[in-house]
Amino acid sequence: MRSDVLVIEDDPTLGTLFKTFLSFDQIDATVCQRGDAALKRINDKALRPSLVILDMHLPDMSGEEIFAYLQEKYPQIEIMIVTADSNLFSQYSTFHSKTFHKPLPMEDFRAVVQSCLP
Amino acid sequence: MYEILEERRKKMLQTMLIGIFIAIFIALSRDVYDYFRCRGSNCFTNGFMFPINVSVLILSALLILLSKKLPSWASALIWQGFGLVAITFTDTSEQLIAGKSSLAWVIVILPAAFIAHPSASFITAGAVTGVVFWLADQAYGQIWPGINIYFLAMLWIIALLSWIASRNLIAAIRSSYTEQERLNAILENVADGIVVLGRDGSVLRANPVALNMLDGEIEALVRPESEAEVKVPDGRIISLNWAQVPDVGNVAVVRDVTRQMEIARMKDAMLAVVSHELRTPITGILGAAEMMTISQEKPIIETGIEIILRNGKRLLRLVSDLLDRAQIESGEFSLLLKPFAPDELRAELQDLLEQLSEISPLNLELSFNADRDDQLLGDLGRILQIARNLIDNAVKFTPEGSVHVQVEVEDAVVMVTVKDTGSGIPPQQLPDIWQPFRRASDYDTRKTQGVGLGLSIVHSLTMQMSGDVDVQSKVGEGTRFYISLPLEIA
Repeated sequence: MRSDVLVIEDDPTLGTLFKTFLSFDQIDATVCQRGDAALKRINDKALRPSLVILDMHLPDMSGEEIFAYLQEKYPQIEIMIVTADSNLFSQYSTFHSKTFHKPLPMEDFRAVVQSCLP
Repeated sequence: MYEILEERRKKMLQTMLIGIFIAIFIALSRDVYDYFRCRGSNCFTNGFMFPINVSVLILSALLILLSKKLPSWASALIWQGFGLVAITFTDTSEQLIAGKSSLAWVIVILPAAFIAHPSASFITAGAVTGVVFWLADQAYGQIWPGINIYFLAMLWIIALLSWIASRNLIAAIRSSYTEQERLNAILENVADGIVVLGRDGSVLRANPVALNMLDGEIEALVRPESEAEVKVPDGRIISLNWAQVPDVGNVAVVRDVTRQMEIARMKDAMLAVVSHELRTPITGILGAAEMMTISQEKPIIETGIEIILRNGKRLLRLVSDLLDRAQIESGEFSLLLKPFAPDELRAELQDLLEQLSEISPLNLELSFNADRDDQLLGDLGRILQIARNLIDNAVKFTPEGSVHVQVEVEDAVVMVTVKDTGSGIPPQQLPDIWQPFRRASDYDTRKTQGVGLGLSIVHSLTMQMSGDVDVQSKVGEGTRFYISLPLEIA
């Protein structure tokens, strides 16, 4: 099992869902429900993710802030945006190819995750 | 109306006087020339007209100046009187009786009709006829047959024609004035603002609605090159709808579209929120189903069912809220009044808090106190909906700490207080919290789930029950909602 995938998703059921699907592909993903906690763990090197699966609406900070922060400080980390927000989806999909609109087929989700991992 | 006619009359009088002044000036110049040319010789001169021409010249010049101050009837009267006297004493009685000065009389009659009053032409014709009769009587001791009947007939025909022409002119002025007044009244009272720009871009006209709407900024905001929507300094948005009018310039119909723009913006935002709130649970449900098709292991099935149930409930809640809101707004909403015991309310609330405490890390407390056990008449389902929405709201905005629910039943009044230790509501947002979809406006920055219908439904339901709502909040310390619902003893 590899463990370099971080899911930032505030909805606990979706967090569980993503984690379960990743486990089918031998990935032990970490799920964070809050943005600040996720960034703290990355900054503390408690987590060294190759891929972050990012929801855009979070209770403490916006996905946009997290996206910008990670792109600047950790450009090597792949980011997969998964959002239910149609406006943000249209906005981000113009320049970030790994942007997905909920609901997305889990087969596609798995394929994209595989393609992102080194 | 009178002012318009008076203005026209003055103009006509002045034009006529200027014409007469020029004509007399030419005649006088000719007299002066003849006087010097014929001095010493006995060629024909018109010298006897000299004093009359000089006095007409002076009077017309004086009247041109005076007519600006005097009412037109007074100027006309002076002209008539002077004309009558001058003509009477210029020609000999025989000449006058024979009608030799008919042209001079016409000059007196016409202006009378046009300037004073249509009927004045008949009065003047009458006066001239009287003068002629008097002169004939003086000269021959009898009126008939000395007078020239053709001259008198011509005089009266001219009086009649002047009367008709004058009446028509006045009618034309009056109808054009009435039409103009009507157009003015329409322009002044129409519901939209209207701004007329000349071809050079200057503001020719703006009706009161436009003046009011554009708040003294017409010149700056209403330009042919302006955008279709402009913003006035106080933030309102005004739409400009242009039309080109030949011979005038550009006409803009001006409308305050602030409200429509706000509604359109809210509608877009609301659609985005609802779409987000639908897509999230659907992702859970579809994903869970897909997950269970891949693996039928017991823990996977259990997790899948749990995900489907929770997201299904979330969807149901959203749909119910939307339907409730739609029903409330359509006015077709009614309460289902049934007797219930205060204890039923307590038990339902207890259940609700127990369910919530399974998924929430908060400390959820209920204190319930009823003054008696009598059955109450009310819509228990809706009362619970009010309490549930308030509690959901408190839980949503309280990251840690507690939510305390206090219910008191006193004299058939149910009082619900929900107190949390949450993030609190900034004072400037407090007045808007009961508005539906209010969260649509801060959708991009919002941190929690929901479309923002819960509190609006609480408010509408409470109002339907003739109850009262109150909220106190301090940012960082928490919020306290209070609802009182007057019921009846069943």
